[in-house]
Amino acid sequence: MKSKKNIWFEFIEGPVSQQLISDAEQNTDKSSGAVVSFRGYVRDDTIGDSRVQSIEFSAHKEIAHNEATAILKQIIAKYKLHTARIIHSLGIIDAGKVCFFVKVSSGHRKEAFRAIEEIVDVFKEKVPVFGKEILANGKYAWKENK
Amino acid sequence: MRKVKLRYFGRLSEIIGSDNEIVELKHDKTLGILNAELQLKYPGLSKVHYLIFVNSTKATNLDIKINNTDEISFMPPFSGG
Repeated sequence: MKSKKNIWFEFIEGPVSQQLISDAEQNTDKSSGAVVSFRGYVRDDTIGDSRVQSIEFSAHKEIAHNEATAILKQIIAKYKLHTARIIHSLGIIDAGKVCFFVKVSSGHRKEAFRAIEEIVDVFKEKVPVFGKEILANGKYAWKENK
Repeated sequence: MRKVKLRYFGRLSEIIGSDNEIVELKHDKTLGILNAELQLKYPGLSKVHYLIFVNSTKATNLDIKINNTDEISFMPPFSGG
């Protein structure tokens, strides 16, 4: 019997739209009692005497896909999730827009809360995505995750 | 002549001035020797921290020999999410 797909990772050009988030948050599985999602926004941090206007994201797409898929497979097994999904933006994303979206579903809430935090943490550590912060004064700085 | 493709990401592509290049391997070469040669060619490289991936695997041993079908990626610390 062919198993049903339960993990998704994708890059999209541009911000993660509200429509895409709404569609991704739909719960069509009546055995899933919990759906938890996380949205990462581009912040208008102050750097020197200017502010971040946008971030230009790039990636090693092939390795990123392999790593993100491996993370999702590992976490879905660890927390017995029903589904797990990651969407990350590429290209220039303005401050205030969503650049990173994660959603999981599970039978109960505790597993879903724990899983989503772990997915976000491990993604930031292991998936080769690079952010170039474009400042309002025309300069730029390479983003570093803290 | 054997050739390998090198790819550079994030701030490394600025230091190199390109996001990729093809280099010729005149004889058996380890990853460590290639890395040292690149640091001589591009002095800015030695001033930043970066990871090296051979194909899709993070290199933890610079003594490995490079094969002519390898694609070697140089990446600064990740900053996604």
